[in-house]
Amino acid sequence: MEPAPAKAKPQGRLLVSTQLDAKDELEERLERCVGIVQSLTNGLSEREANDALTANVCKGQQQHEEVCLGLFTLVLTEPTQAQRCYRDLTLVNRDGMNGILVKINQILMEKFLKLQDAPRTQLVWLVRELVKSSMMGTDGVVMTLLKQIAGGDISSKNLWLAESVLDILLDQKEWVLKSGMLIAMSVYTYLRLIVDHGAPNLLTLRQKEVDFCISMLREKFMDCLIIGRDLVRLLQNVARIPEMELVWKDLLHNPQVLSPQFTGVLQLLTARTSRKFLACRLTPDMETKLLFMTSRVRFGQQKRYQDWFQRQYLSTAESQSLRCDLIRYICGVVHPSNEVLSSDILPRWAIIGWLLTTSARCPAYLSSACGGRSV
Amino acid sequence: MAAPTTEAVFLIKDVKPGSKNLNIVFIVLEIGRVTKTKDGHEVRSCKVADKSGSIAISVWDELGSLIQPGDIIKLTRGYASIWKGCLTLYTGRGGDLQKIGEFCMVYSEVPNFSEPNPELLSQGNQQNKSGKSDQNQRGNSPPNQNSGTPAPPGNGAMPPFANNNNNNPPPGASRDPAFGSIGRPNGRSPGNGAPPATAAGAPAAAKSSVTISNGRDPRRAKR
Repeated sequence: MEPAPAKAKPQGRLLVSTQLDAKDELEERLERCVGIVQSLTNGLSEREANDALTANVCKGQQQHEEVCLGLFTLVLTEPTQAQRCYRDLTLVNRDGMNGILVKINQILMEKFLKLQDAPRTQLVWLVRELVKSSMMGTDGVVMTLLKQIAGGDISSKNLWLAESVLDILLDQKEWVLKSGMLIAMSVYTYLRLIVDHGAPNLLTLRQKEVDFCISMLREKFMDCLIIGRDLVRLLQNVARIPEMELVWKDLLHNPQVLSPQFTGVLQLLTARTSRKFLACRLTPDMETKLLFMTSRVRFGQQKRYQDWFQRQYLSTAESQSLRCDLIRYICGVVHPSNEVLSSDILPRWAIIGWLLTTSARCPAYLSSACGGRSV
Repeated sequence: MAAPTTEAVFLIKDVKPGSKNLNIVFIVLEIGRVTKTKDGHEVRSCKVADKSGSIAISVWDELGSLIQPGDIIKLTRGYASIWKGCLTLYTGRGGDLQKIGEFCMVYSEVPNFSEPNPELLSQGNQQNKSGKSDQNQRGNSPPNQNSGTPAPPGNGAMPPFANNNNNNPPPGASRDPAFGSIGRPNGRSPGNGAPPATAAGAPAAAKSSVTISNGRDPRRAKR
């Protein structure tokens, strides 16, 4: 008698999956769209293929969506054809890329961790192309991309993402300067990431990040002010870096240098920081799991969830800096309803207690959870 | 990953020895050690749970190596039988295990429906004597749902967590720690999540006081 034979499941082109994983509906849908595009263009010359696609998208919204998503997926899964497929996409698209931007957001928020290497690289490439063509809504996608950069993570994948997005921001600076929110978000992100990049082999990256933040702070200070009082906290954590020290001197003694409308550090300290910023430093998966713990797990039942979360996100020395972001999130973003508060659902103080006491192995980071830590 | 959608899914508490065609969604709590069967297969006994309780599932080969604690898995066309006195789930022919999510599922670790049950042990022996495929002869392969007799997953090791101090009493004890029935904790103190010391009384497992006549799991009679 043999064990039940393993069902051979074909590996998709987009997401990493094993024999254990259920089929991914989004991946299946996108691959179906690829099939549609390929059946329309098979064996045709470039010109004929383009005509065929154009004719098809005119038939209706569904056909438009299928062709656009098919071309979009080909950009992700076929790097050698990406340039051509992207050009075709821009030619046949009729909704200002809105459907594509929505799909990119969905992949970033739900599937980013599972993307195969090539599609992940291609996705960042595509976002860069969309930024270059100044599509409306692209700043939102870039902010979602920033959110995928995990705090306390110096794995090569994460470092690559941090640098790649920074490169987009540096390369497309003119475009970035048009969006106050994007300026604020990216400064918030990179001031935070600088703290993670103190190791000798990361100093080149860190310098790039410092240069970017300094240029935003000095050229667009009032947009950085959108961050609110947490900007002071962020600047405090990097205050030992020479260029940052100069910003501090101006902040404290010469505010008008940063901006004529800036009256001084008190103006900054009295400005509330929106939850958006506190939340942007947690990846979607971290948020999902923490929110689950604070809304569904009963007090007394949390041990395993804590162990699983810890194993995934808090198991390295570098990851301890993430604890501060997590605690800040619990305090500032999670606001349970009265119903939850009066139930036996895991209370926020218990989660914070867990995050604080399990960091006892790294006392230096414990102090940064309670205050600031200078780099 | 998102939590699984709710449908009319079978619950672990409804699993009985001999149950077939089981479609259950559960979350993986622990993975046991690998053991090797005589014909070279690898078996792992995993502790899995849903809101109604926990149970052991034996998983063969590659699937077993892929499963991780925290995975939310949908079992289709599984079956259950007794192995060394413990109710155990299996994936049969035509069955499948699919990971549909992770982390976001509430569960109750108690009752543990795979706790060793001396009555079930003798029940297994009775079935052997009745002429069905002998347990020892089938020693190497996973149980077949047609015969209804369990086969040892290798060296006959019991599910390792049957004696786990965290949640399960040693075999023979009659009370389970009541993690699931604490209600409002009254002595809140900052901590790392250890459950309050005041555990409410648990329903007795009632293992030792029921005689078997029809092969049904005696614990079911009480619920």
